[in-house]
Amino acid sequence: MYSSQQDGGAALFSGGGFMPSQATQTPESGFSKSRGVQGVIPLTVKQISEAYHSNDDKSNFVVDGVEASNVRLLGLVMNKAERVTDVTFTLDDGTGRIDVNRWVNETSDTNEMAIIQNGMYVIVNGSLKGFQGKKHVVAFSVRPVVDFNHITLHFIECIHVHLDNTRPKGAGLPQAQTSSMVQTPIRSDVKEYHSSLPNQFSSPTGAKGSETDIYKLVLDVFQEPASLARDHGLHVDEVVQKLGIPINKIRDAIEYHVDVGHIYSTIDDNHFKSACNG
Amino acid sequence: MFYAENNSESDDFVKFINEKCGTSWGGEGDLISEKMDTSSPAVFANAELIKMYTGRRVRAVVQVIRNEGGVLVGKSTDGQQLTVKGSPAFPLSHFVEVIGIADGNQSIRAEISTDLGENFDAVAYDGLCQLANGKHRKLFL
Repeated sequence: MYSSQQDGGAALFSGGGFMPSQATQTPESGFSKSRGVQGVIPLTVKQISEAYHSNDDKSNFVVDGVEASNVRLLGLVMNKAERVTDVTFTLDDGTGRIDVNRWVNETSDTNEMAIIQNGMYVIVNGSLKGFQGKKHVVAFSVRPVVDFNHITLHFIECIHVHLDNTRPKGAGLPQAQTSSMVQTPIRSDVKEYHSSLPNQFSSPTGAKGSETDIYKLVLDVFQEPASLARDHGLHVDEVVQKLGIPINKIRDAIEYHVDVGHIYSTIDDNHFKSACNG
Repeated sequence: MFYAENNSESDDFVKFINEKCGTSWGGEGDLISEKMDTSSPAVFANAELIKMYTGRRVRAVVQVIRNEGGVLVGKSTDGQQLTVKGSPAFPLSHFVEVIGIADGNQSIRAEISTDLGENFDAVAYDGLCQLANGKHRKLFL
């Protein structure tokens, strides 16, 4: 969700965003919280200084209960030193300082690092490493900050991600469930439906009055057990007979239900069957 | 050539290596751990917050009003006047981020000044100052 606004940094890496995807946050998979593949997490150096090793795997750090292997930092470059195989510098983000190391294999790497100067604001995407108790970042990319509003943005993102990762477990659940449904029903509409047959479909949201009623009546006809039992479903004329409503209104309703996937046409354009419990 | 210049003890040699390589080896061959330094953070601050941090390192954004020979006068993100000592001159109405020591009396002794240009959202930055000093202080200090 953020990746399109960023300078492409996040999009390079798995997930493309900071937040754990909804798929990895399902309540059944208990271990996904700490082990799910993460995107790049924006962090302050202060947060990294307080990160600790996760129990099972000594190579990973945990911040706010979430694995922080790929991180994004923003700060000032200090003490830049170029060597044959890599470039090192200290990044000061105002909350602390951390050493950053960027291996230079390709000419493009060399060019990327050549423009980085001491005193410059940069965004670092990299992998958080620990070696003999000392944390440092092995950078995938080091880019100068061009729009300085990124400074504000980065730290607000740090706060945002921190809040998301530390909010009480389960608080995000109802939201995740509704958005995973094909339709997002308005609760009261669902209740109306439950009177006749149990079904997971919603009524047309926003539509009111008689039009909604016709849609509902038509769908109810298709969901009668007798209708469900027939391979070819119902002919349009049969629906007209049952309901005594003008055929053009019935066709409108059928067209709507086909569009949203409640029913489908079977042997020809006049036969339709409910997709529910078919 | 190193040996020629420095007829030296091993400590000097280690110092030389550390300087040239950016490493942090101790004199006894141990790699000094925990080089991460969070001891002198620069607190996000506006004019109001600077009062609380006299003598400490802060970072503030000001919009340049005038340069008075080594002293820069600007408007803080919360709309007050801030004096920045020891800063180079910057173009008028540019936003400048100053990192330095809060001097009391609405002034900062600059260590690092960065020109942020003319397009900078001071309101958002001011909001960040408040978050970073309030509820979410522990991410920053």
